[in-house]
Amino acid sequence: MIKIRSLSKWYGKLKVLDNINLDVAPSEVVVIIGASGSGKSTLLRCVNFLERAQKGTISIDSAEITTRTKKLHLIRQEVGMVFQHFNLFPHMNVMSNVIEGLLQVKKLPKAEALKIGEELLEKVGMSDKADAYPSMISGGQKQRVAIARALAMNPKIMLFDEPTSALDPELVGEVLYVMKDLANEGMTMMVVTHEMGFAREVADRVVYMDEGKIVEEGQPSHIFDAPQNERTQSFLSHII
Amino acid sequence: MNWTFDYFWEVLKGFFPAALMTLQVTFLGILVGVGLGIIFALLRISKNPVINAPAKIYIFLIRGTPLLLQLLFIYFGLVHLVSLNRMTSAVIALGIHNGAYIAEIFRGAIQGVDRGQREAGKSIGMTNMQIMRRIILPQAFKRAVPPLGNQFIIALKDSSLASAIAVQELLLHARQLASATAMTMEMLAIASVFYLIMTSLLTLLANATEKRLGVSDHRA
Repeated sequence: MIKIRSLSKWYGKLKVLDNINLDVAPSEVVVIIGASGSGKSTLLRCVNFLERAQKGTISIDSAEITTRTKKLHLIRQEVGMVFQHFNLFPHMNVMSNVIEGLLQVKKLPKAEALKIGEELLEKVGMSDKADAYPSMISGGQKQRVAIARALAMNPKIMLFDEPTSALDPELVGEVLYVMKDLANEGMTMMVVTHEMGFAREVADRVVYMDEGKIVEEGQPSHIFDAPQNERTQSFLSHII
Repeated sequence: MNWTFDYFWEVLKGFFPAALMTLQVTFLGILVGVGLGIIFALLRISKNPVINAPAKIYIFLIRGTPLLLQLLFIYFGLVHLVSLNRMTSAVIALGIHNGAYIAEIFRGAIQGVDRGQREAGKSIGMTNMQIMRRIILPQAFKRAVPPLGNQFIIALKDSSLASAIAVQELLLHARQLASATAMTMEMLAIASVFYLIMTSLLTLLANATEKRLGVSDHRA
């Protein structure tokens, strides 16, 4: 579903992405791990074109997308994103946040949008907070609303950029639960995270990045229990 | 000094039309200023040099010269092109002058909205225009209220400069009465009270607006 070929991005002398080649199959859950500055977030943000690479290509569903692709915003409907700092719209309540895309982008009538919104809030366990404003709910709740908002657009792929890194430990579980559920339903997911437990349990494949390159990738059991590369081993020894 | 209650009351009544003129000039000037401010803020934000250059020049010229000078320019300049009465000239000058400051207020407010907001809007497929209209501007307006309130108060006091082109506003009226009656201190004092009341009302309005817009800022 996603084919990344020779993707490279640099700022002056600094290579943030160095010749990345990666495939993500439909319904696959790929978890990307690595230290800060390894390029993992940048890679993720290139997939929905929040960042532009200088070299290389990204294809979603066999359609190659370049900076010259018209109507990039339409492509972005297919790729949902969940951010580390939630980025909910503070001047709208929870329900309005979730259906904003449905109203403005898909141009659905309000009644229909509300129905979809209700289903999604139910799915992420936030039905009782539909009228609340983002400032009134906890971080874990905000992130679940953010997931609902992204899912509202019915994307083919969901990108998660360190979704639990900004959360207090006791709130992490409720978000991972929703993500696990989503994976079990067959959603294609790319997740950047430090939550190794989640990676081990949910990932189909784990990718370890360092200094803009993919150093090693494989099944969770391979990466976590028997990493081949020295740098992978070193990184994991500091984390686990 | 022969103050009788009746005399005082007559004098006071005479001030009201002048105060009304001050309010009118201020209000219309602010209207023009906000209109220009929004337009020039958006032009100024553009990355396209052809679009942002006129905005930069306008802001530079207006912020760099005194309002009184601009007022005289407009009054004596425009008089050759269009027959404008004095109040209109004052409104235009006040509007153009405030427009530059308001543009910078809006620009700051717009650029102060968290970058993540734009990214979230993009990630659900919104166009740049939709993001600006639905996500950025509403948040920017909210942020802009306190400095805007401040600017409006300044505009109210700046309206006194219209006296330089003989607009019958509060200050001119006070000075005319002062020279007619030789009761300078008294007349200026009355004008002061009027200004204080008007600026206080503006402050109350600004605070109320701030509070009402802050509805979404509740803490649980």
